[in-house]
Amino acid sequence: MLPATIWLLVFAVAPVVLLFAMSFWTSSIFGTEPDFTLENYKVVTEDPIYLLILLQTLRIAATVTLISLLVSYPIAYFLASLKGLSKTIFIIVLFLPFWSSYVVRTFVWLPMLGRNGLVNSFLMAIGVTDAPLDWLLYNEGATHIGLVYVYTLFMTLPIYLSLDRMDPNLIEAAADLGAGPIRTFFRVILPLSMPGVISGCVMVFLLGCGAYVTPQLLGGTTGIMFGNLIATQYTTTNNWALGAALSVVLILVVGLCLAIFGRRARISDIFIRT
Amino acid sequence: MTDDNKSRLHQMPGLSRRQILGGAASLSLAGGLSLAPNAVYAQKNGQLEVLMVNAMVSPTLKAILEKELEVKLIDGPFMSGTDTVSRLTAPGGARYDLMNSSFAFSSPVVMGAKAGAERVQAIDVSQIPNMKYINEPSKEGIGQRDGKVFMIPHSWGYDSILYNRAVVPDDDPYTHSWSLLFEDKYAGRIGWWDVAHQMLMAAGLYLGHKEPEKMDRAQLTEVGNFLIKKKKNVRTFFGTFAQGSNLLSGGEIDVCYGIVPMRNDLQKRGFNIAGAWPKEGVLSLISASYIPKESRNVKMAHAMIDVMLGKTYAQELANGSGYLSASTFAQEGLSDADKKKYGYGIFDGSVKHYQLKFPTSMNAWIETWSRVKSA
Repeated sequence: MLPATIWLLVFAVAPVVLLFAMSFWTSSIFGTEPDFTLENYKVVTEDPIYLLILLQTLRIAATVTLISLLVSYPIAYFLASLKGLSKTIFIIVLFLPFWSSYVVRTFVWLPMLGRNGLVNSFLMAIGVTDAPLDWLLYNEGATHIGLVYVYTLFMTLPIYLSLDRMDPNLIEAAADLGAGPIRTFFRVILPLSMPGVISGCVMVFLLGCGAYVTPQLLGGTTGIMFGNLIATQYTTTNNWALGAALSVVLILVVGLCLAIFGRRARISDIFIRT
Repeated sequence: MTDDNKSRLHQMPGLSRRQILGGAASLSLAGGLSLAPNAVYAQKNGQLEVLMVNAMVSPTLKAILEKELEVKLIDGPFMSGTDTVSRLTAPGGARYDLMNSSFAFSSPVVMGAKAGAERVQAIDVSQIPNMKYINEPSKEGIGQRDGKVFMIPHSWGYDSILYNRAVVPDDDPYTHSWSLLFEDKYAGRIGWWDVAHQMLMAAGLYLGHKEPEKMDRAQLTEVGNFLIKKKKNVRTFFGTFAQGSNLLSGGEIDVCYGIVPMRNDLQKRGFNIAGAWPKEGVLSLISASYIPKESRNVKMAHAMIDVMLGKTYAQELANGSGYLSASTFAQEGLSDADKKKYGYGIFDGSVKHYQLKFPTSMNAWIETWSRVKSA
């Protein structure tokens, strides 16, 4: 118990406490001074830009979560239906892109969707278009594609685990009792896989809220998210205190979203029972 | 936790508390040892750890420095002027022997608010004989107080608009103004650098502000609204100059905000890229060197400042990086065409420039830029 507690204190609690404390400090070009001021929170609440970008971030994160779910469920279902070597091979193939870095997985969309990229070259080669399509890249749609791609595994895996543990006799029993495939899915399979669905949704939503690299690389002029705003405070203005305040606001808002979500699903369903 | 899970945990190979703590201690020791070599390394004679714009220590320039100093240069990863001053002011002090960054941007931090508050050590100018060759305009970049010198300029950079000559002809009037970066003619082919300071300075100059760094809230709002209006013309923002170079060389964009090393690098790689000379002025900066108080090789740091103002380095700087040396040696033997190409007109007034000064309220600039980005 003690090692686990120490681990949690050092790696989970301490950084958040430091972040919270720093949000009341003062930053200037001469550095960050331990202080107590509400000025950073005043800035965040007074300028509507922060609320605007926060809402945009929540919207993008929610959409990405929904798309990820729609994409990942069939994959997870397919994986769970496999057996033996083929299952191992497909799981390795699913994991393969995730052995590389997040940034590389995002970058890979540039030569695919770019003006001279793979998709445009293909479309032009088969005569569908006679000029490159500019709208494939550098917009909110590209941000969604990138985020769904990089977070797919976080959705697929918990759903797969839920489905894989399901007793196949239940499906047979449903069929024996006259339920068709669609009814069986909605009345038996989906409810039993809900812990995995909820877990995946929460994971993807949390990751989406903190996204920074993908909107920066693929979003063009429309993809800014709250993470970009926070990063700017650390990398451009040296305003660590405001960056910390923005981070605290993000943590609180995401926590609030989870609390609202938690009214429908127990926290234990999300984080423990997959 | 279910009983089943508990029993599985108990079946795991036993790890006692002592073993875990021992493991943690070993990891800490290993971590400490992994950091230690840097400190030892930098203290060795014949090695100098520097943090400066990487283009200034490009292969040809680094070779000159290492040969003249008989030293092995270890150049850190330069991120930005902000990052450089952050490292200078970081708790525990800077780990570099010599650093440099934009004078106008960094001097308030480097020099401190008053005498005695300097974050760097005074430079012994008697060890910099080449200081007398600093050209007149660059003397503005000497950071001094009470007869002591803390910052010494060694080069100039300038930001402008880079364009693909296959798409934008040199004689297009748009290349004579920052309009190239904003107006509708090249809509969908433009890239903006995702940095508040430079983008708002450029837009401010274009909109006729004489001292854009002093723009108040209302003026910033006006500039922000202009950029929001023109954002439709922009294909994408880019975060780093490497990213900007890739966009330009890959044909994703044909016009972008750019610095001289970008232009220099792309031209050397054979891309048909040129830099515009906007009538409102290119955005210039003086790079100055300073020696952190924690420098472990002060003598060699002085020697390096001297070599950077010396003949060989100064004459190769523009070719090797695109930057203009602050030394009078630099233009010796250069043809008029080369002087024009590199932008040495900054020194004789034939190229209009405006120094990238630190804004009065950087946070307001960041907010304005965020508004532009989110609109």
